[in-house]
Amino acid sequence: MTLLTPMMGLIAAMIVVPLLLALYMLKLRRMRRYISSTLLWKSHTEDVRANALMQRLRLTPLFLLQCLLLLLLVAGLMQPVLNSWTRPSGRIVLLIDQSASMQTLDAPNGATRLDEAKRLAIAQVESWQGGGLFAASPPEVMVIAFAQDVSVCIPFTTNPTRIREAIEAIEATDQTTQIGPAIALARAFATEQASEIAAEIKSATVPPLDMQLISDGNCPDLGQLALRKNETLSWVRCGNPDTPNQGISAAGAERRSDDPTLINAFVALRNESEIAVKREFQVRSNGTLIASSPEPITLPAAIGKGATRAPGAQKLSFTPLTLANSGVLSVTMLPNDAFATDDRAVIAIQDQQTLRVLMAGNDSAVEALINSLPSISLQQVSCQDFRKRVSIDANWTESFDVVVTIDCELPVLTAGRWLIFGKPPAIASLNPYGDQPRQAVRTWKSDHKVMAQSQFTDLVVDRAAAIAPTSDWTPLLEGSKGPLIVSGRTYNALVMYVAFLPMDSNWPFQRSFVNFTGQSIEFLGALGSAVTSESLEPGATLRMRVARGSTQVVVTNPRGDSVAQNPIDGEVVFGPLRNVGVYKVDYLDPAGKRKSRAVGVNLTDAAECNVAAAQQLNIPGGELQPKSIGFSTLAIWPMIVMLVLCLLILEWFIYLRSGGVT
Amino acid sequence: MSLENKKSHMTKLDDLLHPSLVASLERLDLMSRKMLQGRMQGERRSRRRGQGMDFADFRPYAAGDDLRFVDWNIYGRLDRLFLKMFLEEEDLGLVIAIDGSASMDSGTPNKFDVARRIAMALGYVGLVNQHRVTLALLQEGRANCLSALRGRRRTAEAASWLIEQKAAGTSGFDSACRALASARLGRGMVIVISDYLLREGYESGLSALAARGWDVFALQILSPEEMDPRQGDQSLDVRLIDSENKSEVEITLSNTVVREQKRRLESFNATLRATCLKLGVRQMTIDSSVDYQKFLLESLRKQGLLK
Repeated sequence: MTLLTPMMGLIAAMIVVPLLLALYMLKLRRMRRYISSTLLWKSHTEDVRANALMQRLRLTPLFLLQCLLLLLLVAGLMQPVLNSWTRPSGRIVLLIDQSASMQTLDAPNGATRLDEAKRLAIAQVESWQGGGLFAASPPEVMVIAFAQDVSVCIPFTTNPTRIREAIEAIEATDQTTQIGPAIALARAFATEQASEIAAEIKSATVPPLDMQLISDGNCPDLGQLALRKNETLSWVRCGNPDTPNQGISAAGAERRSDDPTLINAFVALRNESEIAVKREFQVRSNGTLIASSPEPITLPAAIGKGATRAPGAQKLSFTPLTLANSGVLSVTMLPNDAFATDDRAVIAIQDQQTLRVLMAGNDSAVEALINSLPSISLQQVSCQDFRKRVSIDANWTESFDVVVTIDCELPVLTAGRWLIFGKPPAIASLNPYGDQPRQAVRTWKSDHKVMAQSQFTDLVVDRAAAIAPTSDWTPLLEGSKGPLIVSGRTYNALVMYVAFLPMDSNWPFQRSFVNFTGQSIEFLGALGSAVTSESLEPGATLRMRVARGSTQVVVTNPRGDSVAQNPIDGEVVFGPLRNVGVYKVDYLDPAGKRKSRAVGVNLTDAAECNVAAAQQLNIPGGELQPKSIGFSTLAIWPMIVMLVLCLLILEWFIYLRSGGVT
Repeated sequence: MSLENKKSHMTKLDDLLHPSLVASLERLDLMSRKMLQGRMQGERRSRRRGQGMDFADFRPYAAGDDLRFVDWNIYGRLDRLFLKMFLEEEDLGLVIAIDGSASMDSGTPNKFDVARRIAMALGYVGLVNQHRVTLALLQEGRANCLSALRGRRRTAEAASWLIEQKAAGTSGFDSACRALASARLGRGMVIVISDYLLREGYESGLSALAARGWDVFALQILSPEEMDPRQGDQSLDVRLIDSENKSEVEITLSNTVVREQKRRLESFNATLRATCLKLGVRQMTIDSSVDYQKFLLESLRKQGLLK
C-alpha cells in the first residue's frame, strides 16, 4: 500500500486529533435551565470533573469511535492505494497496439480490441488524474501508437484533455506488430527529456520510465526486448485468448502463358481454431461475382500446442478465370469471423505488359535464360556499342526496364535498374580491389526476394572481382573470400551486382542460376504485376514504375483517401501501407493518356492472423502477466468513506442507546 | 380531568373549581382520624359530651346536672341517678396550608396552580359541610391565613383569596408551620400542600402541627420534570438554577445521572413517608399532571381524607 498524500493526512491529523481531545477535555458550555430546587442535584459528584476547565479524559465508546473516525478520515486524506494500482509520479508511456489483430471484434459490447484499448487507456489516464482535492501532481504521460509503424500520438504531458484526444484519434491499421521500435522511440523521448531535466537540476539521476502496454499480446519481437535499468513494463490485455480465427494466408493470380486472357487464381487458407470449420468462398472481378466454391470448404483444425503449434492449412484454386484486361480480383471467405481483415484477399491484375530488357555483352546462358522468360522484349548490344550509345544519350538506359551487362566496363552508371555480371561498375562505394580466385559459398540472404527458393551451397566460383562494399550495399551472397552478389542503390540507379561471370563458375548448371536471374529481372523491372499479381503486406512501401515524365500522379488508398505524389526517377513511392485492400495509382503519362494501376494489399502474416490474445508475455528475464486497469483504479478512499458511514451509524446507535450522553 | 399543561392565569372561581366537579364534591365530606373538639355546634361528632344524637356514656348524677339527661330507666332498676351522656356534634376545623415558595411556581402543569385547585376543592367540601375552613399560605416563614370560613356562601371569598396568592421567595416552612400551629384556629384537620423540597427540612414544621393535636395530611406535589429530569428540555449539558435561592448546579444529564436522580428522589420521598409515619401524619405524593377529578374522587377517598 502506498500513501499518495501522506503530508496532507499528517497535517490534518495534527490538527483534528488534538482538537477532538481538547473538545473532550475543555469545559462544556451548558444550557441554563430553571428548576424548582437543586436540593437533590447538589451532590452529583460525577460532574465535578466536567465543570473543571480541564478535565481528565474519559475513554468512552463514543470518544473511541470518534477517534477511529478521525483516523480513518486522515487515512482517507492520505489517499492510500494498493500496490496493484500505484499511482505513478514520474513519466509513463502508454504503448497502444494498433496492429491488425486489434481490429478483432471480441471486446465487450461488440467493440474492437482497439476500441477497448482506447477506452482502457483513457480510464487509466483519468484514474491517474483523479485523486481528490489534495492529490499530488499526476504523472506525465506520453502516448505511442504502434503496429509496424510507430507514431507518437502525444509527447509527455499532464494535460488529460490532450491525452484523451490523442488516444481517441488513434486509428486502426492492418499492419503487423513490432513493439521494438515503439519502445526505442519511448526511450528516445524519455532520455531526451531526462537529459533536459538532469541539466536543469544539475543532477545525473535519470527518473524511471514506466511503460504500459495495452495490447492483445501478439508481439512477436517482444522476446528480443530487454528492459533497461529503471524501466518497467506492464501489460494490459485486450481481447480473448480463446478467439478463433480462419483466414486467407496467401493469395495470388497468374496469367496463363498459353492464353493470357485467362487467369489462374489460388488462395491458401489458415485455421487457427482447435476444431475444423467449413467456409464458403467467393471470387469477384471488379466487384462482380465470377466464381464461388461449389460447397463449403473444410478447414482442418490446428494441431500441436505451444511452439510446435501449427494452424490448419488448406489450399484452394480457381481456374481458369477470364480477365483480359486489368482489374481487381477479390476472394472472400464467408461467413466472416471476429477478425475480418484476413477474410478477404485482393489481387490486382495488370494489363499484359512486355518487359524491355537491354543486354550488353555476350553470355549465351544468360541470354537464353532471359529469352525464356514470358513477356520479355530483349535487345542485345555489345559492350562497346553500349558505351558509345550511353555517351551519346545518358538517358538511353532509362528507356529500358532492366539493363543487364555481361563483363562490360561501365565508367558511368546512368539512371536505370541494373543487373551487372563480371566487371564492377564505377561506383566508389563498392571499393573494387582486384580479383579473388576460387571461392565457395559461405552464406546467402535467403529472405531477399531474388534469393528466395534457391540453394547456393554447391556454387563454386573460379574467379570473381574482389570488392569491399560499404554498408550501403546489401550482401546477398557471401563467398569464402568476400561478397559475391550485392545489391544497392546509387543516386538514380538500382543495382544488382554479381561479382563473377556465370561462365567462370558452375552456376549455369544449377537451378539457383535460373531462379536468381529470373527473379532479379522481375525484381528490378517490377515485372511481377505483368505476369503474376503479388500482393503487398501492410506496412510495406508501394513502389511502382511509371513512365518518366508522368504527371498528376495520385495514390488512392482503400478508404478512398487520395494523396498526390511526385514520381522520382519514374518511380512512385508511397507508404508505408496501413490498410489492406486495393491501392490505386492514377497518373497522366507523357503522351497525355490517363492511366490507372492497382496494387492489392493483403494481410498474410501468420503471427498477426493468430488473433487469440496472449495468456502471458514472455520477455527476457521473466513472464509478464496481464493486469487490469479501469476497474482496479478504484481508490481506497470510497471504502474508507463507506467504513466511516458505517461507524457513524454505529456511533449514532450508541449515542441513542446511551440516551444521548456518553 | 387532567390539568392543563401550561401555567394558567386564574381569574375566577371556575378556573379553580370546575363546575362539573362541584356536584361531585357536594356529596363528599372530610374524614378525620381523630375525634376533634370544635368551637361551634356543627354536623360533626366531637369529643365534647353534649346534645348530640349519639350516646356516649353514663356518669353518676351530681348536683346541678340537667335533670333532662337523667336515665330514669336505670333509676327504676337500680334506684340510683345516672346521667346519659351524648357526643356533641360540632364543626370541624379544616386548615389547608399551601407552600407559597417559588419552588412551587414551576413544572408543567404548574405545581402552585394544582395546589390551589386542590385547596379550593377540599375547601369547598369543608364549606358545604359547615366546617370551619381556614386557608393559609406558607411564605417567608409566615402563615398568611384566611380564617374561619363556614358555609357555602364563603366559597367565592375563598376562591378570591386563592386567586390573589402568588408563589415567590422561600416558604420558611418550619417557621410558617409553627406560626400556623400557634394561631388560634382550634383543633382540626390540617392539609399541608407542598413539594417538600425544602432546604431547611420539613420535619420540624410537621411535628409542630402534629403536636398541636391536629390531624395532619401532607400532600406532596411534584412536577413531571422532577419525576423524570429527561422530560421537557432535551438539553444534555445543563446549568440548573434553583428558583428560590438561585444557586446553580452544572450537570450532564447522562443516563447514569438521571438514574441516580430518580433514585435520590425515591429515597427522599421514602424519608418523607417515614417521617410522616413517625409523626402520625398521613402523606400522599402526586404528580402535577395527575387526573384532577380522579385524584379527588378516588385517590383521596381511598386515603380516607374524603368520604
